[in-house]
Amino acid sequence: MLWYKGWLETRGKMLLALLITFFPVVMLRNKAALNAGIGEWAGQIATLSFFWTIVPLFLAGSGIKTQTLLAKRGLHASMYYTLSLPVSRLRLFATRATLGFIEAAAILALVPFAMPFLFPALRNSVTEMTLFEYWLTFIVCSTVFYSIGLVLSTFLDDLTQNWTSLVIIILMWSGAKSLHLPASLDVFSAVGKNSPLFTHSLPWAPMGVAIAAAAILCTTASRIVSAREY
Amino acid sequence: MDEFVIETHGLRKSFKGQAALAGLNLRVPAGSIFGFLGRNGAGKTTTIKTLMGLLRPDSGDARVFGLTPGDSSSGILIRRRVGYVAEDKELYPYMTVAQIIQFTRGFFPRWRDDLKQRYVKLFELPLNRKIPDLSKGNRSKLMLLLAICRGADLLILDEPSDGLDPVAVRDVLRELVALAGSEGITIFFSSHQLDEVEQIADRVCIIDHGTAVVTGSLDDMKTQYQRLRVVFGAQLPTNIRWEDGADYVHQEGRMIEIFASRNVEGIVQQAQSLPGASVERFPVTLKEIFLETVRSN
Amino acid sequence: MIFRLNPSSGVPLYVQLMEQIRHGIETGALKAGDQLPTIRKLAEDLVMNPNTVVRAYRELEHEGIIELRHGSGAYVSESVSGRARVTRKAQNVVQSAIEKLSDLGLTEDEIRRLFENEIAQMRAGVQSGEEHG
Repeated sequence: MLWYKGWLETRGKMLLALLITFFPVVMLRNKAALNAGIGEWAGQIATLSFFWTIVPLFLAGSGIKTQTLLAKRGLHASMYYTLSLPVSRLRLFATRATLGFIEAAAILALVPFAMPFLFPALRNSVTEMTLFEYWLTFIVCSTVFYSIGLVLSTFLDDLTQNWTSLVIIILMWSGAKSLHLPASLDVFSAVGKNSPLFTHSLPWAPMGVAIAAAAILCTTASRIVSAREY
Repeated sequence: MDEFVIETHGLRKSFKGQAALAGLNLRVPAGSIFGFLGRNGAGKTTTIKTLMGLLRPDSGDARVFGLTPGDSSSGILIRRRVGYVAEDKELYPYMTVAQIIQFTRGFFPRWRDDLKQRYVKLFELPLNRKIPDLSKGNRSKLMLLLAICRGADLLILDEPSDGLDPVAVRDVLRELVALAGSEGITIFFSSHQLDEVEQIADRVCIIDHGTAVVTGSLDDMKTQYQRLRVVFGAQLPTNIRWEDGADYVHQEGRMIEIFASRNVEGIVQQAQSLPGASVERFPVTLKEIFLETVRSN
Repeated sequence: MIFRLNPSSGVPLYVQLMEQIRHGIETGALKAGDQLPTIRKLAEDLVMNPNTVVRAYRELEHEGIIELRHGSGAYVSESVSGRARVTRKAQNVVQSAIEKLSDLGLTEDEIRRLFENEIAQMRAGVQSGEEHG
């Protein structure tokens, strides 16, 4: 039943996430340069990948505050109804957080499979295995960004959460750039210039860093959910 | 039976240094319909949220069915047996009436389909309508349905009749009375409508500034509290020291009005012993008790 | 028998219910052996707390006016027929007293207050008598 509630809550956002994901792809498709060869638009792929990793943000939710695509009257007051159910807050959190991530992963899975159709040049330069590795990389790396959304969603409403997360991630990104982080720690380059699309191997170190950071953030979020007063 | 479904002891809770509860003691016996009264900001909703485990008290103890609501696993056990109607009467905007009924049903093994059918009909609820499209009254009714059909042993209702028209109020009160009578359900409800409390409650607590100022059986209260009017035929005696229990004394001309919270017989005797005095006694309504106690506090 | 209670009159509801049942017996609307509504039915019909109905019934049972039979409900006690006769006689006394008082030009309210005052005095007298004795 909580999955059902989560689905009703997120289906509109899923649609939005889908649009956000494919909009730039479709826009870029018309540029002739894209047909030239992968090397020429590596920079754009890197930017796009980063962009895709933050798509899950929109689907992050901690299961307490009610969410919908559009803010409606009485939205957050209905969380008292959720909290009156005989369910632990941890279960509310775990269900919603998992659901949002599965949805995000499903949307992002469409990207590598759609790319060879959108960019014919890709068909010659990458194998299916590479595309799968590429997908796996940005799913794993996006856990960090998703978890930032999770933590913020424990106390912020939807829209504020999305914007605040975005600002935080952009700050992190520019921070990583200016500090010249080593590639083994740089989650951003792992989905960009060091992604399997170009290196043809999985960036294990930054993926490990991402999972570790996500685990810490998720634990924090679940602690906040259990301890918070409403 | 000496069993209390809800029991709080010295409950304290502050928000940003402002005390919302200042040592609240509350005991709600099983099977009672308990009216919880107080002005806005007196601490009613804070108390109810504490009982539902939404807030944790700064100090003191709250128990529901003998369990601590703030504790995660006890909280689940409590919520299995409690139907709660929150102050705001808000439900998920993306669900229809039928959907939220179906959703809620899944959490409660003791869900009462018989009562559900009855209330959908009685309250004339449009099953396929989305929740934001319901009137305020219909939302209140739907919330009551969702609380009651859980098969709850205790209903905690924060202003349940808010937004209902007089006919619906009467329907709801009748159902609450029937639930208490036939199912032995304990009902703890807060309300601003003193007349509806007076109608169905057998126990009442008036809370003010976070403490219980009056609590007990409503019938006993109405026997204990009385308004006395003492009229003097001749000169009005000065400096009368009224006996204990004369909470509020008001003098006008040759007439003294006394609001007595206890020891009425003693005060009547004292008044009759004064030269030239004739005493009249008036019963006191809950509204008067409320106004006088909240004023004198 | 139809009961009409006024929750906001200040008189406890159980007292009002007791008075109406007593009144029913006095006027003959309720006769010895008649069954009274069940607690649940009365509570729902009058929209009042079942515990309050229980209290009224218990007190009336204590006074010997009704009998509570386990499982089958409440019945007007057989002993009330004698009581009803006494009440009817008393009614005559009260009636003539009221007539005389209104002949003296007293209003309804004044008469009521006089009665109430006398009863209060009597009660106070009994109490102080008990205390001193």
